[in-house]
Amino acid sequence: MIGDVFLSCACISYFGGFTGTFRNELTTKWTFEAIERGIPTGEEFSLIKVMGDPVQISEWNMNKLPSDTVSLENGILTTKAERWGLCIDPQEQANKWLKNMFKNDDMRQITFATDNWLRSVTDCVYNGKPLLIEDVHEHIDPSIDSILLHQEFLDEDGTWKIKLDKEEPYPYGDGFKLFMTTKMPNPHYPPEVCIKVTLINFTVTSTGLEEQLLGDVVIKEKPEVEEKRLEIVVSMDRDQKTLKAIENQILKLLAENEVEQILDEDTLIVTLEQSKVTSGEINVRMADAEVV
Amino acid sequence: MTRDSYASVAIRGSILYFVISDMANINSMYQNSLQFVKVLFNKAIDATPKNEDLDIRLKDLIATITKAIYSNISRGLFEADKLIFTYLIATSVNRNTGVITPSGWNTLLRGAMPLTAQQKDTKPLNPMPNTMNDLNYAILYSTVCQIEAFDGIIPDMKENIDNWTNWATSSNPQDEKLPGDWEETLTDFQKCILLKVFRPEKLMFAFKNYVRVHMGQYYVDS
Repeated sequence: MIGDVFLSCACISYFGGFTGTFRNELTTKWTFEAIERGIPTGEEFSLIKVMGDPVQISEWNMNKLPSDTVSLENGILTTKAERWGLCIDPQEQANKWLKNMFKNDDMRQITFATDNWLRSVTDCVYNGKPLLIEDVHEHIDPSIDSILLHQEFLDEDGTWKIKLDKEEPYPYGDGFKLFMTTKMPNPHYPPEVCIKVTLINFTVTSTGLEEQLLGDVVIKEKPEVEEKRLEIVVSMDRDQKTLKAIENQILKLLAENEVEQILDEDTLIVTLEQSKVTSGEINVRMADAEVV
Repeated sequence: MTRDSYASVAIRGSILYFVISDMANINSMYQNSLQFVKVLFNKAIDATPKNEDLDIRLKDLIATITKAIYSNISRGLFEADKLIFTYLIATSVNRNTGVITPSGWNTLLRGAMPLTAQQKDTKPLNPMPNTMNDLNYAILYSTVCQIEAFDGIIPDMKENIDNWTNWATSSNPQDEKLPGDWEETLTDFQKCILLKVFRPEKLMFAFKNYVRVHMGQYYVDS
């Protein structure tokens, strides 16, 4: 729906810096306004439902992103926002999550106090690697402004480049990602910083913390239950991936076939059968999950 | 679900963490990381003696976790702040279960709330002008307007003015019984609000009693 997408944009642009209660207040207000003005919107708006991909979310949770609403919204903001994210992260949860997520992508971790930090920045830009700047204070070094403002441009030779310092433009690697985290619990960022980054408030909430501690207790008390739960989470994750793959395959086969021959196409029939079996298995596992 | 049966333990852990992080507002030296609290939490679970019965086990877990985290954190506090810490734990637990309502908590911390026009019009005269000044009476009236349990306390003060004056002017009102039925009908926390109205200087002692009753002697001995 148009309204849902519109509200998602509003959320991603504006509500990152707030805590859960304020976010809910904002979205209720916005939804009300949207309905008032006749913009088609779903009954109850949820950023996670509109923008979240269940497969990706379960992957985040496995990488230690807490599974409460605020944290999941934060996950969406960090990955989907156009401007690079600056995480307000006094409990270092965003930090841990990002490090886990990009463990295999060779992510660089620097602070503005590291020797030669600009060298690491240019390396990451050049090679298209993710970069994490930790312990950002209220001042952000202007040398990375061009990155924050997305001033990369398409050069004459057809590659993306970006100017850093006053030197020649650097090639801008495709996989480049920038994340910033700060440990300050209640930082005050001046407007000129706010417009360059997406502020994301990762401060822990009581529901989020309860969820995490519950995990801790259950691991100690009933390790088999928690093990089974994780197993189920992983297998559901895998199921969803296979289901999606099968769906895509069916669509592809349908697109490639002439309409009259559909029933003669063996691969298509087999794939359909397979998707039926898989979804049956998933339902059984869902029932299992309820018990745990 | 098996998992959810342990929720009470997790809730206690989360309450404790937020009280601890609030302590940083009292003195910026009181910094404790979430990781540290989590370590204490996990160690306390290991240290709890095993019990087959789930209900007893949950109670044991909550008791040891609270005790372990309390003793570790309060070791790092100044003597003057220890009582506030335990009182915050006790009230936060009771606020979480709903025994202490948000309006009651607000009144104790901030005093009188703004009145509506109707409430202003129906405000009776100060029943005990000799023992209670108008500022404190405003707190009492705002409490009566917001908390049902206080219904009828102002007329009662007028009628039994001697009993109330005796209570309010006694040397240790926090240890004395309230006049009439009020001793039974008001909760311990609501009595603290009454004390704030009549004898705010005795509140610290009342807080100590509160912690002793709701959490145990261990939390008052430092």
